[in-house]
Amino acid sequence: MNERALLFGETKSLTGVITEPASPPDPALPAVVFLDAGVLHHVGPNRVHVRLARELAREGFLCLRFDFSGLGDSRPRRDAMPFAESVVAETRKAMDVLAARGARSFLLFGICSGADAALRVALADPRVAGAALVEPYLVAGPGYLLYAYRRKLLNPLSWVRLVRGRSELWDALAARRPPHVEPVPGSVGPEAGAAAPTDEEVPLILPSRAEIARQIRSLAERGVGLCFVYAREGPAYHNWLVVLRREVRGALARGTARVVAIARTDHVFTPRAAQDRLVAAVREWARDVAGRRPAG
Amino acid sequence: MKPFYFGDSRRPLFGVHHPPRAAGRRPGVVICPPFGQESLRAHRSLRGLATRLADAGFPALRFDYRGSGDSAGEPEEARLEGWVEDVSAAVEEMREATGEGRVALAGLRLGAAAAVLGAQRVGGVEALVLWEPVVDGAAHLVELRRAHAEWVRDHAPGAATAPDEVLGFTLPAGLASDIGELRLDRTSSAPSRRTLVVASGGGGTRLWEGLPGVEHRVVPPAPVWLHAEGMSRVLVPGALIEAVVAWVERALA
Repeated sequence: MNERALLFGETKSLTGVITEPASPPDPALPAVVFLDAGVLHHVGPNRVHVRLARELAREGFLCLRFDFSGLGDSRPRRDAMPFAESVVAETRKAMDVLAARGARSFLLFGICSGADAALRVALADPRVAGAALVEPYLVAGPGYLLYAYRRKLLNPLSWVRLVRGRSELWDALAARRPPHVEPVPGSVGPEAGAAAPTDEEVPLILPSRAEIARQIRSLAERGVGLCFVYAREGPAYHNWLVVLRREVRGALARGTARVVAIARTDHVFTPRAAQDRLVAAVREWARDVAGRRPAG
Repeated sequence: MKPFYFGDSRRPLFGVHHPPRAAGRRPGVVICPPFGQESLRAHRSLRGLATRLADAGFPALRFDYRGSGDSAGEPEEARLEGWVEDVSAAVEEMREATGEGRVALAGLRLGAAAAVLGAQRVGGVEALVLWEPVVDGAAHLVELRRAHAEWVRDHAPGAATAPDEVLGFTLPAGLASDIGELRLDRTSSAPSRRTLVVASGGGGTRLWEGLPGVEHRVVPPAPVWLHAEGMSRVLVPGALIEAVVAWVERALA
């Protein structure tokens, strides 16, 4: 296992770290690209991207962790491309870097907003053979938003805010965005505004149920493997149960999709036992996808 | 910004070099990050500090200790002594890059302790910035473990946690023991010609008050480094960063 840092993209503004297997990677194995989770940089929540990339590299997978423009160690974009589009364009650039090293197909790994971005990339690029979507939201509906607010609705202070129109619930309902996925607050100081996606740009305007159904069908037709991983007691898993599961039913039956629900963890897998389970589940899924679908 | 690996090739360290924007040879500043969850939350602030230093003409180097961030190694191997070796390697790297013997160190939280110990080790440090330094290591361990227990209770109730994990990161027994013995206030002289102790609030810290060459600044507002309410928030304390850069300019003039 060997790691190297690189700058890539049209203006060499994107920072990434490639983790290479000890022996030259088998081009029939998909390469793995890790996408930023929220505003955390490319090591991932609790450094779990580093750990997973190293474990996968030990199994022969070529891996790349990188930062979207303006996040982590990558410079902001100079153009006005919306964040929702730039995450797709930049992930495809990351895939090009690995393609130049012989990779022919790809697995994507994303937590939270990284999972939402991974789904978009999978739809946009036929080279994607699979995506591990960890704690994705994907679909919003009034019932789900109310669920997400269950605890807040029991909190008197939340009611005061709601009545005064200051609750984020209004904004969340307007944007169909899960209320607890926080946008980047206005940074003060260096690079304020330029470096971070602004509130409006946060890539979590969720697709409708019909749209997500169409997307899942399209991926299933291409044979793209999907691995949904959830914190079992969290709102994203509730989203899965009440909305998404039905749309993924066919893919689950055919075995191109699987779901893993990890108990007693938070959204970013803070308990180490939960990190262990996350890493093991994704490693096993990557093996299965690689075994089932040789590239080329 | 240029990411690269440096140091011992058997155990390379990840660094990001921020070359100076302005012409002219000036000493470099090596930035020592905090530990664990704080290192994730501080990443953007330290990038901001490095960027502003480079704007002011000072090359800056951010890096990760062995077994942390993108650097090689396992978290279980972490010891304070290893961090000090890593600070030394980063200083050597910076001196080679700038061709200048003069160098400055800046450290945040536990990184401030690493900067102090590193400055004692390498010698010749012109300026030292201690940003909300962890002064009393034993008290810091209590705070870390309490924050971990509260986080698990509120966000992952019933989760089993091992004695060597805090807020998503491994805190091995050896490192915990090193931190437990840490008392920066028992140092009788600052290991640098000039030192800035800077904090965002709470009155700052009185570390090394009265020692020659040591200044204190308090620059609000306070970012959240550890507590649960800041877990998903990023705040770059711009005013504090500007104050640090202005101080470095004076100290290295």
